[in-house]
Amino acid sequence: MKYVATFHSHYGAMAFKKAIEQRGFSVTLMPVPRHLSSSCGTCARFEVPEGFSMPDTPELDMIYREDDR
Amino acid sequence: MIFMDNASGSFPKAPGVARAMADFIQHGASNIARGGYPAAYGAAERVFDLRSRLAVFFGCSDPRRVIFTSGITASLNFLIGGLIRPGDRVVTTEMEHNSVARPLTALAKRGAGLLRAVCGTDGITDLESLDALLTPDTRALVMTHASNVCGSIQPLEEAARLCAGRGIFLIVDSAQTAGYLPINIEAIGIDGLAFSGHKGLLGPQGTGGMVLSEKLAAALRPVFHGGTGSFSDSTETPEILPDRFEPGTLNLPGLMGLAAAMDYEGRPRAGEKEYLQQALSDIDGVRVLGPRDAATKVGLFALDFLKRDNGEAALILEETFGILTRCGLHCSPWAHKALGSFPRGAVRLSPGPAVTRQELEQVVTAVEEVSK
Repeated sequence: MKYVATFHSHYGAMAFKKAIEQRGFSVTLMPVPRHLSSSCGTCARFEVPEGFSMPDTPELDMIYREDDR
Repeated sequence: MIFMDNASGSFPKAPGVARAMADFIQHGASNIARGGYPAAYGAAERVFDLRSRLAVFFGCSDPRRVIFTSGITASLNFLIGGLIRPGDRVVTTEMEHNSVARPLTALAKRGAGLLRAVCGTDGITDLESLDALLTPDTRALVMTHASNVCGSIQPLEEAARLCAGRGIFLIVDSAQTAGYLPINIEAIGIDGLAFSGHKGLLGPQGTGGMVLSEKLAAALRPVFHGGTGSFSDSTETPEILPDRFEPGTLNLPGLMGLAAAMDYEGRPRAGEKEYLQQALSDIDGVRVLGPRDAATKVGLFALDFLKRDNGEAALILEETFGILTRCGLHCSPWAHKALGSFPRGAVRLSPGPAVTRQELEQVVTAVEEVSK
């Protein structure tokens, strides 16, 4: 499943990226599509298996399933 | 040349510092929290890692409470100016550097009540004096961890206990101890630790920061306001950390250098300060200011030459023996008055981790010669 996560801060984006990478999945940081959020400007795009337990990292805003968009 | 002025700024820097800074400048000096491309994210990740590392180093459970500044003076101004208001009561000690004394004096002129705990001839703050001044209506105690003049280590743990029991914020200047003495802010009970990157941590000038307790992070007001790359739709300064206290562009080349410095494990060898304390104290023509017992001080030594002007002594040490020292009042008039060396000051020797025992013996021989 492909997801995009948005954050309240750049610190939050980096913390989330590291948490996902520690579980063995790659993350791409990128500018946030404006229709999703105007918060910190950085979002994380990543792909994980269905049922994956998302990490509880600080400053996480929303996680969107790309397939839903 | 024997560099004995590490209390002002370390030299040589830790291995890898210069290269890390040059690499960043030459190969993609992107700003962070602004640009949305790999070089910017890579730099952001290195700053994130450094912040996490410093949090562990200083015993802070949340890296978001590690705030980077341009140096420890900026940190102290931030902590003092962001917490204490005219009308508040604030306590400090006689051993403070002007980076504490001047912001506090400026606040006192605007109506803050400023009181100083006295210290003994060993340069160590008297706990009874401190205890009496720390009344429950005191907003903060601002104190150094160790004197930049004579190296005396202050009774920080005891002071923290006094503050904790009375609801007083404890702000600590670690200019002469960070990197030399272990500091765990949560174990000790420090609310605001100001640290320098270019002294005991062996990083570049222009780096430093502050580490905040949860309580102080909630109470501290921002001193600067500006862009953070977050909440850009608002003209209000964000509440979240570290953004709330880090507007504007960070000194990224400096932080890359500081990150490299944190990889370095070399620190002063045991026995150095004991050797210098004993050898310098045995010289008839000089008085070593402050503690007699090396165990109660960090490795810096203020010498008052009894038969010669201190400025002249420093010049001879440099010109004849190639020994670089710092002479004068060391930006610490209160401390020199308390130690009985005001206004003539002293010649301060502060070895770094790179100095050898043979060089220290040369220094002792040179001081013996100059003291005659």
